[in-house]
Amino acid sequence: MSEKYKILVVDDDPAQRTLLNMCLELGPFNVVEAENGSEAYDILDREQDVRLVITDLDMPVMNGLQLIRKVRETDLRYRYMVVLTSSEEKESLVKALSLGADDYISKPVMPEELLLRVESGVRLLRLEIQEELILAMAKLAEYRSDETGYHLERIQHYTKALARDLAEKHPELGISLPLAEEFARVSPLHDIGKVAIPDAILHKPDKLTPAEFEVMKTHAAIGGQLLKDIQTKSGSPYLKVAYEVAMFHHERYNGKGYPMGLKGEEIPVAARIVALADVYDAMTSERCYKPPFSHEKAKKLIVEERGEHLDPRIVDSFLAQEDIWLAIVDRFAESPPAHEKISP
Amino acid sequence: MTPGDTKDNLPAPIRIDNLRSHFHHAYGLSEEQVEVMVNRSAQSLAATLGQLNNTLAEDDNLPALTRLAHNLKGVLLNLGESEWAEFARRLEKSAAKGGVENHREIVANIRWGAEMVLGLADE
Repeated sequence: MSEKYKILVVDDDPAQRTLLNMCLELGPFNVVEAENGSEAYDILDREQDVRLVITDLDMPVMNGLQLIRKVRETDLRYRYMVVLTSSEEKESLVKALSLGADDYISKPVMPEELLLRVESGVRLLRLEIQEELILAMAKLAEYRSDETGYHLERIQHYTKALARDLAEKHPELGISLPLAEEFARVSPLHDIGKVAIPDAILHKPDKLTPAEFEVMKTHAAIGGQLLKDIQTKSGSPYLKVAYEVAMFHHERYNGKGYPMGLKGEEIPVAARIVALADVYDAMTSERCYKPPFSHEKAKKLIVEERGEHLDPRIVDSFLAQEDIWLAIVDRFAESPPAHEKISP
Repeated sequence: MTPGDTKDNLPAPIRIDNLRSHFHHAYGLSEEQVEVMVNRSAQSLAATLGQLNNTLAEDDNLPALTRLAHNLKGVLLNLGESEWAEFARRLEKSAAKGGVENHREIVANIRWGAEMVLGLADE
């Protein structure tokens, strides 16, 4: 690692701070010190580039638990927080972890262990930066297409609503609540492959010819392969779900979709969910070749595709949450809400 | 170790050359860094033991006693003095439980063990 990371060490004992400082400076770190949680919070508020924190728990003025809670409540960017603890502080440690601490180091601190644990944090923060870059790429893909405005935000919210509902009602799908959040986070990447589609096809106001449609269809495989390559290099599980969504969101439950013609449960569940979200948003959004459909019309078409294009359980989840969907439509409307527009 | 221990039953006093060796070998510190750490640790020990004495004068302030004993334990562990840290741990436990151990005697014993280091803090 060539660049230096700023790390904040919080401890009321100056000797402990000095020792940590000396150990950390063996690695790629610039150390900033604070003697209690309150001083630490002021530094974090002022210096947004401090993304790593090592904090003692037992301190005057503001203790470590209070600091963790405050940071997690107010942080704009994720901070990797490591707790300094002794073997007798199990109860406090569990509390710290439950408040959002990422890791802990037992005292007395061993320099090798300290550096390894902090470097885990650096890896996590790097992955987050990669995720941010990839989401920025998704935005670029969106700018190139005619899916302007809040398309990605709506897809994210629709995906989250479906995934959370399915997690509760269909345990056989294996969706935990954190996984539901992950589906939502990666959903904006579903059309990332559109960056590779020529403008003449992507922006064609008329119906695509069969040959042009074949080119358009390649966006799923292109996006999927792009994310798979990055995932192989980075090892990020986040990108594995992203790959599944980009590659398979045009598969159909009846096996008549593309690019692979997968059927039913063969299609990753995240892709099945995003498929419905994308279909609904495409129908209720204006395009250069069509006005937006009303919610009722889109709903009718979705119901007709139950068990054909779309997974029946996901259609049922959509129907069970219509009020939530309409609230999302209203919140992220481009102009008048889609359900208030009447399509021909 | 129980109240009333004679000095013969206590761990050997903390020696400064042992601290230097500990900081050098356990943390890989340079000679200059070792000196900084020895001095900072001496100051931390002196400050914490001073606050402990003040707190012992207040009969009921067991939370403060617990916190200071915890801090003292941390300082002693960093010095590699696990036997002395055990005394601080006993003080912390006893204070946390509202115990009746002879807290003053434990602190006095630790102060005796740390005398050479505390001398550095006075310099």
